[in-house]
Amino acid sequence: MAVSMMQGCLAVVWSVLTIVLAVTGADAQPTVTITMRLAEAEWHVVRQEVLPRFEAVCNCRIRAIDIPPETLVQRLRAMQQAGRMEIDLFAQDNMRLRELVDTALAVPFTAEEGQAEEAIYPSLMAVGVSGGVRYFLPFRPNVQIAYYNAEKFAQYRLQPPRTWPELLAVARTFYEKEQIGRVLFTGAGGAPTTTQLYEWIVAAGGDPFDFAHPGTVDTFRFLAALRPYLSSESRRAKWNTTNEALAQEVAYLAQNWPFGVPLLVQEYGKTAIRTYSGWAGPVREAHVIGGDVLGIPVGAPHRQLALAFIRHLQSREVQTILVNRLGWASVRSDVEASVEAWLQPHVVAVGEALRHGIFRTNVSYWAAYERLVDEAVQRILWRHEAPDQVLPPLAARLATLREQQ
Amino acid sequence: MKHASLLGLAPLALYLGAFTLVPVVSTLVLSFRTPEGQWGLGAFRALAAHYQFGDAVVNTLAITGLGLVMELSLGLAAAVALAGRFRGQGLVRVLLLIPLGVPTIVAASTMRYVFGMVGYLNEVLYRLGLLTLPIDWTGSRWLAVGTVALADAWKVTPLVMLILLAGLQAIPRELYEAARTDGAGPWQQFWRITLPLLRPALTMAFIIRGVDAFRIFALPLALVGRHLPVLSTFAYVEYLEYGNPHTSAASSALLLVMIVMTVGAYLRLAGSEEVVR
Repeated sequence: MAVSMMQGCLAVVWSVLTIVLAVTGADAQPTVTITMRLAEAEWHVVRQEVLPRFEAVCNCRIRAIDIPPETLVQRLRAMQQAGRMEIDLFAQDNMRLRELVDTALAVPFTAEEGQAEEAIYPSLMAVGVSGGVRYFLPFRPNVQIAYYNAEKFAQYRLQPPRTWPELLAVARTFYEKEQIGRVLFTGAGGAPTTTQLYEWIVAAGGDPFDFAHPGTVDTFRFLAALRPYLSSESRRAKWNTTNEALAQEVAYLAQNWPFGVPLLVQEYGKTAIRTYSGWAGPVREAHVIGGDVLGIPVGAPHRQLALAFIRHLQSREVQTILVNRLGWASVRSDVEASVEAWLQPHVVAVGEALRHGIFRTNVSYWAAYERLVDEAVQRILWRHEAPDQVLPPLAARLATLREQQ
Repeated sequence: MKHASLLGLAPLALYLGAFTLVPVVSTLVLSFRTPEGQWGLGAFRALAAHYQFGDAVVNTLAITGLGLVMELSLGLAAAVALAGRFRGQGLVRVLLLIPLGVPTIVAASTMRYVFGMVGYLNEVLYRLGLLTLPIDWTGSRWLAVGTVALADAWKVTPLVMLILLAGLQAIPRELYEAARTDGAGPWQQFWRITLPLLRPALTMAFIIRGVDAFRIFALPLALVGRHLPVLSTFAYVEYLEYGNPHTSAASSALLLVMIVMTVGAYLRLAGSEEVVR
């Protein structure tokens, strides 16, 4: 009786072991762990349409997790110190790369690994290099484009402005015709204001981190000249409220990221909204490139598969899905023909803006810098103070910040 | 017995200590520390030199003052109206209480539809022929202060009304009957009976709403944005956007001082026995 009971127990244990070995055996598919910060709708598309294609081709499984960009460094460091790196590939905001390089958490790509296909915009490749070594590869660029209400422009026989003087003229015309400002500047403060101003300063040949630079001073003077004709919504304008202002026809011209395109056209049905790359400053056309890049952490267990997954994400097939389904800007210049007809003009606008793309310099004093930009904009735009009075003391404070870092 | 009652108070003391005393003391300590960990008045000096801090103080006082006047006047009028008996009284009372149940952030979003450039208010005024061009109700500073105070009053007047209604119902009816017998009219009854006997309720409403009005946060931020700073939004932006916990704490400490001073001054003027009673 006792012997048969023991035999029974052994049979159960043997069965369990067989099942466990079948699931986790040496010949099981490898699991590649990636981390990205995506919205729920974005995750849905990535999980349904992007990951399965790669899993089928590479005979592996992708475990996709969402580590917030602000804690990625700490999480990677903890895994590294524990001697157990679990992440194979991470996507990170291009404004948060410096620490990953400084702490040697991101492993450089070899020259061969770091080579990009011809179709990938060359301007996007600039951000991944530090000290001549490539640490990151582009995956999801973001660039601000100009949105305009074509019906209103046609009504007053105006063309979308391509230069600063044209922008001023358009803003003045709208104001004179309707007695209300219709050009929107994202002047609510914080990242939206700093981002927009950054590219305006570069377009004027200025140095965004030097408020005494002639190009920077010219930018603020131009803003002061534009102020009387700006939409009053500019005081509250951020990236999300810009869509609202365009949809409600409070503003007829504004800059924003491309995520507004599907929202305005499909959700609000505003087919009169058109896009183009935007306007040039006195020196050049410049548009800040935001978005995420891809990197491989030190000690990643599946480096080769991670590299293959990067190529998959950059492929024309996947980029077309991301553009069509999510309205993302593409890293590639050859997806235009594959996207849905209504999106094509917007993809052209994004591509044009990316050709004039610039990256913000990664500085450790960004928060303090943003505070100074906010103060300058608040005082010059909304308190009507003269740029020549406001800027010199702010320039001194900015210089001190630079020296302290 | 004494020990038992002390033990009974322990959870409350623990709660107040952990969630009120410790955060308040920590904030005060933080406001007197420098980023380098030294003691000093650096954070307060930074506030004094900040281009928006003076505006934040004045805006807070203006919104609080204006809001309190509107809330107490409207609340009193509504309470007096509801104190009498009329048909549909229950329905009116429920309708008047609705704003109290609306979360502040929802109220702020609703107010954006009312006071926006293409909002309902401009539309109504335009249709009535009173406007040819829409008004930006939050465009200029003082207009924005008025708009925020009005939006706040819409939200919280029902609370004031409830407090005052309870006060009104506690006034003995016989006093009014005696006054009427002596020939007193409605205005005389209001000034000589209602208002003096309503003082405890008014004091309570003033203190509850005054403290709350000083801390106004979501409405100005959602309705106007950063260009109408008040002390709480100033502290928020300093802490969260610019990463300056010391100036944020100093600003919060000053807000606390302002609240204590205002309540103290009012109690001195109105008489603290009203509250005790």
